[in-house]
Amino acid sequence: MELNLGLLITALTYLGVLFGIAYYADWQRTQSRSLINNATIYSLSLAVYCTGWTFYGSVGLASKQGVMFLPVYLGPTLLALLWVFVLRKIIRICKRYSLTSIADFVSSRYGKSPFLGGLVAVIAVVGILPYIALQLKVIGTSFQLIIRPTDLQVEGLPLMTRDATFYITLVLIAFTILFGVRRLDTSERHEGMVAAVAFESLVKLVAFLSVGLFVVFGLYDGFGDLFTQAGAVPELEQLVTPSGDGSFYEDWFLLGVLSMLAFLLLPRQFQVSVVENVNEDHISRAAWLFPLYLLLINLFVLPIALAGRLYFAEGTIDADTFVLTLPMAMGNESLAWFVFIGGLSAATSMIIVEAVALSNMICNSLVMPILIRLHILHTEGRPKLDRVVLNIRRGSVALVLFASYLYFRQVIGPAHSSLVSIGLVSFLAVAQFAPSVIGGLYWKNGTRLGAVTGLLAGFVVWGYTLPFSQLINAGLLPSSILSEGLFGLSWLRPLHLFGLEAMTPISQATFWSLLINTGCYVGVSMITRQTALERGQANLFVDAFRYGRDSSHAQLWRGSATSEELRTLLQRFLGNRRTDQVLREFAHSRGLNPEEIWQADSDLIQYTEKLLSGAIGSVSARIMVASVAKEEPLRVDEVMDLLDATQQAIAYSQQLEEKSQQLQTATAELRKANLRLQELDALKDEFISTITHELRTPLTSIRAFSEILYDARNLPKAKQKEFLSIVIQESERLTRLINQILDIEKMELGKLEWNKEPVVLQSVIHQALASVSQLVKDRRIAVETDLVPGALRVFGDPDRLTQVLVNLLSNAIKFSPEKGGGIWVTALSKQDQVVVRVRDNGIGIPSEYWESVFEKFKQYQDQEEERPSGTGLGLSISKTIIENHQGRMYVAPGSESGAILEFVLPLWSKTSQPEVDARPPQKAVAA
Amino acid sequence: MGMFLVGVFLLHYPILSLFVLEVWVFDLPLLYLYLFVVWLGLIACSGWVVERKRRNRTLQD
Repeated sequence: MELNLGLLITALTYLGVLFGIAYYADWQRTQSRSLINNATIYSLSLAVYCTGWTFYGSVGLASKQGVMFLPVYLGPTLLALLWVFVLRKIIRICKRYSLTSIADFVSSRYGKSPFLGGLVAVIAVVGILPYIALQLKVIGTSFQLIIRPTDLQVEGLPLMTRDATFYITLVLIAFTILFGVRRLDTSERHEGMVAAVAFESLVKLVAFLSVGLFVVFGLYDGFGDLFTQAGAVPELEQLVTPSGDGSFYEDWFLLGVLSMLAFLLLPRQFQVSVVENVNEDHISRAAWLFPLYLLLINLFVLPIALAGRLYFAEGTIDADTFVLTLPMAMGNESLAWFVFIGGLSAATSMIIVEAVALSNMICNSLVMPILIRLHILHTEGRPKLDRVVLNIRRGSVALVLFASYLYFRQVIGPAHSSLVSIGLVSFLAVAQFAPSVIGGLYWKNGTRLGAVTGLLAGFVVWGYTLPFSQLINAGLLPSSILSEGLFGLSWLRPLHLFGLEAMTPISQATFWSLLINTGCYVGVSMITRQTALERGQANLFVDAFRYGRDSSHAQLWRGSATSEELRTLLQRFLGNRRTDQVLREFAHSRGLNPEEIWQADSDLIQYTEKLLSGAIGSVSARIMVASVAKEEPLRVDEVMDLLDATQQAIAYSQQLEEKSQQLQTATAELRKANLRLQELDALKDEFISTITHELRTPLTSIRAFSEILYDARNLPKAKQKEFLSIVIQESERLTRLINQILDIEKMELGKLEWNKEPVVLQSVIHQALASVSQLVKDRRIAVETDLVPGALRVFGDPDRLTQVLVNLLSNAIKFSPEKGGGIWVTALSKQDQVVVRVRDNGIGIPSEYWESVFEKFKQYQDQEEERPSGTGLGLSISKTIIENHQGRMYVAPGSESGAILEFVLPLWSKTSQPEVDARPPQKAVAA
Repeated sequence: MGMFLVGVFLLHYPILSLFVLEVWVFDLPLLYLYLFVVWLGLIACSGWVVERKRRNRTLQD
């Protein structure tokens, strides 16, 4: 009794914590903050996939079939690698059209068909019942075990469980309604529920890992020890190292496929992964975080199963309860309680989300369309429809859970089915949606009739092979059907349909139902025709990514409605305040005055339909809107035109954007070019003024001395001679200047003739040295040469190259000191290049002038010195010549004390004779 | 997409049958070890790809 009380308090405290989390998250949302807008929480909420099946059932399966428990988790792992394509597309579509359930999705895709939506809802509800019943069994069994440990040795379920489970079911109904069905919302999102589910995922993971660690490292000495001990027991050997015979690989493959489909299509997975998704980008992180969760929760499954088999005598304890019974048998009570809470988390989170998703489906896709059709909701006397909708949902939750309880009590209990075998029944049921959903996403020609026949056929085969045979096992139907087939027809035996003997029951059911379903879907789609609306919807779904991210979607509606009618309609489901708010938002987004929007256009009609769709489902919304708006039916070609127009508009706006970007870059380039031109213009002006100045200097002195000579006739002979020599020198300088200016002009215009031929560079150097030898002698400068012995051949104009060297040498001579001047000329080859260096020991060049010495008329001068003789064009010309020979000229580092000028030319070889180069030099623009 | 195909390939017949053997590695059965190593490998690969893309995208923004 003491234990009971403690347990009750623990369980209630835990539920209280969950409520706290949920309320906190909901409160945050009203403050416009989203607690669950986070990729990690999104991943954790996806882990609602791991239910009581994972928590208890995996160990049960592993204790009989070894690694066979794994494909159910490997499937979703593989699917996660495709999420970026598949899941993102589904989310995009559902967000855009406010689709809030898989029934909504399917019916909307196939022309907003009410019948299809209803069919999907029925299949989902019927298919999921066993799954919820499984969770009830888990909670009931674990509850029973932990409050009455003495009953451990009793085989199967203690009698009390049934009643206990009934009360638990009632508690869960209340819990789910409080949690998930509190108010009507246009986006059908439940942040509080998701936050609580994410928390529960964390709890069940930690609980399971604790048992795993306790077993592997507490009871045994690590993984190796446990596996070795198990491998030594003959009955367990097969679990540790399976032989892979029988139907091992088929089962493996089919389970993988089945779980992959179920993971995408289970109503609760659809709810958390699509409807509750806050941000599309979360799925990319969840694509690896969620598989990691799966890996962790599966790591200890096989070890626990082996430990359970080793510890308990064969058949005394249900293997599905090893997770709980092992710590209990070891006397670790606190761990057992924690495990109980973990299992409770796993089961309750599944039940809550699944029940919310199913009640949404039942209400939106089954009940509402029928009520509207029967004109029950049209009476003006019942303005507050949101209450009605909520009550329908609450009723649905109660109905679903109660039906599950009945299934548990009438079928599962008596049939002693294992947890996994029950769960797989539901997996296969929702897998029936796969052809319609996946085909609907990627194949435009799937028709409504195709989807209906496929779903119906798959559902019938599923029902006949799996739940039907369970009913027989439970003793509700004669067992002769199982052995002899329905009506004594042996090909109708549920577990060996059409005489297929080689497969396990679940594998053959999977194979037949999916094959027949897909076959009917594709076959019927090919022989039936789509209506205009179907065709339009098919395009909107398959080309979802082409219609941009926002809601500027195509208009597949033409009709008229008075605005007052639309407003009344919205008020009935959303209430006055919310209606005013959403309409203000709408007006604001169109840049209209709220009063003006009452000229109801098709935009507003569609907006209304979208809002209603979030609240009561796409089918009901369509019927409701159609009841106030007079629709003009569209023909197929009109629908296609509308879609084309939308796509073209989007493509056009993308093109425009591209164009305007191109224009911007072009403008920037033009601006740059203009700037460069202005610079060049300024340079040219400067050049001309410099030239005039340079020409005037010698001219002025010539004129001055000539005038002196002319005026003063009685000047002494010596003086006369001196003045005349100055005149001659200055005229020579003038000639030189003019020649060089002409050279530069020609070079820059590319008019200069180049007589290029293979030249031995050493001979050029010697020639240049010879022509300056007199100057060198006069100033007593020591010249040293260091030329490599082999002939250094380059392809060039010998005269021009000599000009370059003479230039460099004259500069060196000019700047050499009065006494002890020296010049060093070196030439060497580096790979396929020649490097020529002329060094002097003069005043040197500070590094800030290394670039500018090559500019025209730029001369470096020391402040103390006079302006050096020379034109200031020599280095500029030399550089241009070298560059014309595909070489480079530069001031070498170390030039601060004694200038070092270097140029590099490509070596000439017979094999790589360059074409005779008549190209203009690179700086042709400057002129 | 490529990773999905590699994953399907590695975790199914016939590649899987190469590891369904009575061989022990570090006192662990080969198949068990193989499945978890491939699983972890797939998670690591997809995590690496996804996080790199995400980083590139935030850099661009």
